[in-house]
Amino acid sequence: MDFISVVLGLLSLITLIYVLMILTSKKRLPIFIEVFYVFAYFFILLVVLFPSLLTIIEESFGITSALNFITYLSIFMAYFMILLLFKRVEEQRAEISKLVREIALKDKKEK
Amino acid sequence: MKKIPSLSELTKEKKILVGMPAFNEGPVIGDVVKHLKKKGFNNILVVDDCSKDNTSLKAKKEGATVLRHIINRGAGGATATIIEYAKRHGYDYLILMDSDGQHSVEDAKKLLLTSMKQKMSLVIGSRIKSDYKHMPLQRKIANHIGSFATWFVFGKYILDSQSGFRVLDKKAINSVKLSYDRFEFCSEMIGQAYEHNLSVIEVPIKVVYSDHSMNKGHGQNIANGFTMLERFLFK
Repeated sequence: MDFISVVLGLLSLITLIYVLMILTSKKRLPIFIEVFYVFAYFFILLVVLFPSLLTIIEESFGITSALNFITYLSIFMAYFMILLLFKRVEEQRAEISKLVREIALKDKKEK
Repeated sequence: MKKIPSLSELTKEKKILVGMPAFNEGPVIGDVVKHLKKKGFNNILVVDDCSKDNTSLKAKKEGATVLRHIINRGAGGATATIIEYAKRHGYDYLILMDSDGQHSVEDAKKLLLTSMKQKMSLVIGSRIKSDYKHMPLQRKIANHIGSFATWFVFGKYILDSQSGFRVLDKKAINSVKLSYDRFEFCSEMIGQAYEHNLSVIEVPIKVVYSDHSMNKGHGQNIANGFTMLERFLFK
């Protein structure tokens, strides 16, 4: 196993443990995000430990380079996640504005 | 010259509210409220958008009703609060104007009169129709981008789509539901007015660009114009 694989394996393991810690804590993430991270980092760990897995994927799915395919898919997924996050942030912003407005109007009513 | 009716004549049977979003307007808000009161506007609402200075105190001292946002939400957020207040308290007309003294009380009366006499639901005070020469360059550019975005999204071209000086009648008060917190609300309001088949008109106004209004740094600028264009396009 070369140096890069060891570093990548360790980083994946740490991230996986961190995600699992979040999963068991009270501060949960949306289920879609949790499942995505568990599978993604578990898969990276498997590929680092068993590089031959890529060859099996290539043969099973009839693709020329599984590594390229995974890289493109990861970029696509990462951008998709960012989009979801933007949407979530925007929803939160609207909710906060509504809340701030109601507090301001309620304060006046009570005075 | 035709005499503009007094406010007591205008407000005899109608409930009129002057609403002003305010953020760090401590040095000027007192005078603005005082001037409005002096000219006969009795219902003045200031929404203090979490100012760090004494804006609320100064406005209250001069007799305005003050609502305070506990978190800063921007001009659009504060304007939405004003509209909600007007809706809940059953006002017939709402005059929206800046709290930094840029807008004149005489123009407020002119806009109100246009709405009343011509039965216009949304009257927009247009700087371009009267005072384009004196408008700072960055506001000119922001305004053109905003007007283009309004035209592109809603299919209607308003010369001064970014003017915050407006009068809404009861129909508009009840129809407009703003979702944008920043300056995009100007275009959003126009779009919603057209969506609800409300009548819209632009009336020339004069604007005083004081040192205070130019230095506070949260007015319309070019970046705001592009942000608005991007938000409308990718909404």
